[in-house]
Amino acid sequence: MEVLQVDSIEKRFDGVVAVNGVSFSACRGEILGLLGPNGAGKTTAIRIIMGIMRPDRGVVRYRLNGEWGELDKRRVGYLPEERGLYPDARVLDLLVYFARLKGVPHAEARRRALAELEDFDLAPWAHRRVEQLSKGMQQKVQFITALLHRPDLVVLDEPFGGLDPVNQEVFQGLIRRLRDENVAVLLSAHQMNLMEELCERIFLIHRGERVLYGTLSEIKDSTDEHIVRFRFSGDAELLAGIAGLDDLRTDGDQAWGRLPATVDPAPFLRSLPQGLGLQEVSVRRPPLHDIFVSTVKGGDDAR
Amino acid sequence: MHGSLQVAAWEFRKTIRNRAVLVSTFLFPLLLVALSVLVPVLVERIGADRTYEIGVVDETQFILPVLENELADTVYRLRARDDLEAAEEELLAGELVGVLIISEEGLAHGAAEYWVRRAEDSPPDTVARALTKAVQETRLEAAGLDPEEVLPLTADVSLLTQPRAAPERTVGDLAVSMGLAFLLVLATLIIGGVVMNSVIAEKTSRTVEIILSSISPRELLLGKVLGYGVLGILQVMVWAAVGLVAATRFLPGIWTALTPAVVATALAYFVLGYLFVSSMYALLGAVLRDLQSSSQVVSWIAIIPAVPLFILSFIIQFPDAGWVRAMAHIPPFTAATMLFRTAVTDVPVWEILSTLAVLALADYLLVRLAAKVFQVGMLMYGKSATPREVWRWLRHREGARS
Repeated sequence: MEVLQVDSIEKRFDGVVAVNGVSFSACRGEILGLLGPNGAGKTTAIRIIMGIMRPDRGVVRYRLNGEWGELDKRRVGYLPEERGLYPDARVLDLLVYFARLKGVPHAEARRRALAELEDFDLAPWAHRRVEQLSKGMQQKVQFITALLHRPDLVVLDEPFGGLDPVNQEVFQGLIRRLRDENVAVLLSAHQMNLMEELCERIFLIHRGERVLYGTLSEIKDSTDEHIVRFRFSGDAELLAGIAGLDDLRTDGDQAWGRLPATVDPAPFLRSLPQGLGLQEVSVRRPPLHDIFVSTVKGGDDAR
Repeated sequence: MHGSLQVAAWEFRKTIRNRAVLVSTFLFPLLLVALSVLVPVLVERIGADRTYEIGVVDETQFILPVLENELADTVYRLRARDDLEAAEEELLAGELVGVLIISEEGLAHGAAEYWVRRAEDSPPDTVARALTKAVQETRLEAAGLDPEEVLPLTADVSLLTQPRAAPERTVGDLAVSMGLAFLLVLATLIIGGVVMNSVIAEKTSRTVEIILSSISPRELLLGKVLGYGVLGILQVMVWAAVGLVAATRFLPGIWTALTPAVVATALAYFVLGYLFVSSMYALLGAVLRDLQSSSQVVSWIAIIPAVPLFILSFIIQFPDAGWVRAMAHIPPFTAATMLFRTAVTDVPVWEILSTLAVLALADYLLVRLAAKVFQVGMLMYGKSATPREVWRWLRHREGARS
């Protein structure tokens, strides 16, 4: 069920376009990835969605209480990229305060905060000052503030920033849990591998405009090319004679290259030279990272 | 308004738990009272044991005993000396505070010499008066007259000034109303500064984006102003109570000066004036990157509400002058100017109402304006805004909704 419709929003700062005619939607129980290079307009789009900024043009519609309408700030959760907590405040007090701002009654806010702290293994820290917590712990506390009021839509702007691999995995689990609780999650991040694992759909924004939008497989299909990888034991000289492969690169007994959309993979595989001594071959859709880089670069080259 | 109340409660609780705030609210005034009680006691204690020795070279031989009698109950002790040079040495050595030289010739001209160590040491009035009396008594006795009969007949007459117009302000009234005015004006400026720091802290701790995703910039602004305002009123009340208790020692009946009208007027100016100053400071905080970057322009702007304090003596001297009345209608100066004016004179009711109206309108506009600046300025990290940028934000339709 759709809970968010972003409709042709546009925002300029001093004449410079930050977001230009961007439209997308987010559904409950889904993780929508918002991708884009630095300065692409992601944070501006998110701030407009969160009601912190107003778009110059376009509208954002919300269905947070079952009906389409204006933004109800109490029904959305937000983990901003620029984030911080009051360093001298105590963890529990802080969580209760942020939940109170979202309209949760005091006793209920306290009960939920203690339960979440327990869940996040932070219970012993409830009465400590924020500054006494490690960075990973602080990030968990911030994550809790985004969901303590049980929002219908959660926007996470770079939630993995500054996390070690172990904590990255923990946060992945948390984001999946939100999705499983039927929350609509809008996720913006730079870690392509994580995005590929987490997101059902992707919105790629570049220079304030939409570049790609769709399910992960749709986006992969749209690239029309394959990545071919070999491991071989034979003569590397023979690689040069392979026809139809672009950007061929080798590293020891491995080689890889791009197979353009115009080339059918099956005949291509049959045409590989005998003396190469193939041990492994894979033909795959390119990873999100490659699609991202080539799309962004291609867009820049075309300008 | 729900959001504002939450912010206010948060800021209030956070600040009231701060030890420094507790100390300045409760301990500082108590310390002042303790000092005001202790110091006079200590001074009396120390002063009581001390006596001052004056060398007297009495060529007449009969003045000294009479003078000694006159000064018996004072801190001065007279020491008869015959040798002027020896007396001078004692004076220079600090053993004597002065040397009094009484000669027939001098008395004939109505004078006696009094040596001191340095030019700035002056002869004590007590000694001068006692000498006059001693000389008069000896002369009267020499003339065969009874000093106790004659002296009262020649006693000085002094003028006792008695203003006949109905008194506008008694000393007690003035002390109370001026004290209250000072307290409120200082509180306004101090708390305004605290609000500015809190806004800057909100920015540097980067919590502002979370807050603004929950409530509007105006709710955040009003919440901060309200939270610290309540705290400030509490502080002022503690200080005023302590001040009154202390003042009652010196000016009994001082309580009666605090009529409901006086308190209500003062509070009205305080509340509206505080709203103006704190919104102004909050606005400044929103455009600053951090505490260190308070630029020249900003520090000059921050001084504006304190201007009435700099020209306080003129306001008190000419509370009804045209320019003072005009100044009272300029919002940043209104509260302070009027608090001092009402303290020293009876301001017509219409002027109180007109200044309050101007101030209330200015508050309304400033809060709107500050909320607008908040919306953009609070999300600007890493740099201070230039005045030109702020002007652009104000014309921008950003924040029109808040």
